[in-house]
Amino acid sequence: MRCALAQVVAVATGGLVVLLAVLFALVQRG
Amino acid sequence: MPLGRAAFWIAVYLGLVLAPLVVLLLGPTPPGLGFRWDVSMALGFAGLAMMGVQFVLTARFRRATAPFGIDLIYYFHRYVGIVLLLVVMAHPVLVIVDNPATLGFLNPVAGPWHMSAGVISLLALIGVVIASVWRRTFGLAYEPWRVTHAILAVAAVGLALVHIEGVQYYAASPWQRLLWRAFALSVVAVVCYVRVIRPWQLLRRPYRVTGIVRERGDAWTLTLEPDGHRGLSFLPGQFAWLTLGGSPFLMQEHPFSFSSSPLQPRGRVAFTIKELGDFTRAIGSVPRGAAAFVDGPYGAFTTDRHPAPGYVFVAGGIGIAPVMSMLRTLADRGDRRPLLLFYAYRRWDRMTFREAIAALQSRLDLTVVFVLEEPPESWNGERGWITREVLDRHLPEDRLPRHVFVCGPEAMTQVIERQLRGLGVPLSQVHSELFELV
Repeated sequence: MRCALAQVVAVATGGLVVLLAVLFALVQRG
Repeated sequence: MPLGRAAFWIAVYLGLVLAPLVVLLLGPTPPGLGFRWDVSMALGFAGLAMMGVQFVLTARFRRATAPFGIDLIYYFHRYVGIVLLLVVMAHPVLVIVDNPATLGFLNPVAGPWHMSAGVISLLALIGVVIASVWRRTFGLAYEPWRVTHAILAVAAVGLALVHIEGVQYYAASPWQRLLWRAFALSVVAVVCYVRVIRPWQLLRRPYRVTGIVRERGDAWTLTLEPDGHRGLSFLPGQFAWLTLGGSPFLMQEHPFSFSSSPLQPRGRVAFTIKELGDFTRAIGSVPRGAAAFVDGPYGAFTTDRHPAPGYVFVAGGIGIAPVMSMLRTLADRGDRRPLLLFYAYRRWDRMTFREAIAALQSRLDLTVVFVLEEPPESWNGERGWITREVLDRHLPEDRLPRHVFVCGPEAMTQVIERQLRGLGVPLSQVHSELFELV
């Protein structure tokens, strides 16, 4: 369970980073 | 897991990873090169921030890792390392898709130096991930792997910073330079703490080997006593990184669970170590009186954090070591709560701590279920694996209020957790230790 938890949180972190990268570009270009 | 504190440290992690993006948003926007270009830049910056925070994750800061257990943090470090590689790789891929002419920059001979720095940084990062994920496949020993890992990781971050400095995109204004210099300094500070300050602290608190006992099943119990200091205070079931003979500066430490009670006199501690690799096979030849260094304690796998009317332990192989620490501590405290131990091993004659467990039964309200994979002909006990049926047969009727501690090979732990869930034991009451850190 702990191993799966580490995997899920790592993938969720990656997803959040990609989402915020897109938001960053949207905000920068108005 | 204390949810409030865990949520706080997750927020700190995300804050550190995303801080560069937020700070860059607040500043002047460089000339527009398009949406894909900016997504690519943002992924590069966030990927670099993730690389920097990787050093913090394995710096063993007790306060930040305690809510999760440091084993979980190391597993997260491993998986998020793969994720960050994908994030960083997306950076050049998007730039090239956006403008195929930039492909020429990747030529190390014709391209500018800062682009070569970026390419080498990415190659170093790929090397870090490949060597870590497939270390055993490549037959790479633990100690050379650790040195390689550290060098490549520092090179990846350093060259990425050189790349940003050279490209000058989101790094041209004085305050943007300040951001990246502060980031670089933070990474240097963490590396200095891990590689210089902490080893120096360990050097000042040496231990001496006072006993080496051969156990059944190719295992050794190594007893240490503090040399000139009071030793450390640990909770039963925790573990520490142990350096034997060498210097704490040489990165030759290995993680092992304490197998002793923390109530031993003179700060004495014991580790029980199975012969599995070059380091562990040499344990038996360590002379008495040899110097040792103990970086610990770490880990959240302990009965002391989970008060309950009784406990169930499930151990496989050398996973018995932290369980022994908990059982010995409960015995030293005169604890009379009901305890149940499932202990799986291949053969009866090689079962580590067989006699010690029998001796503990006279001091504790302890029921033991041995499960043998290759039992002798006269064996009347459980055979094969710890299955759902075995658990169901022996778990007490009042299983719900009990906490269960599972320690063994990763595959066994996962199966036991599934079986316990199927038997109605809430997952919040099942605790496990991940000890295959690399």
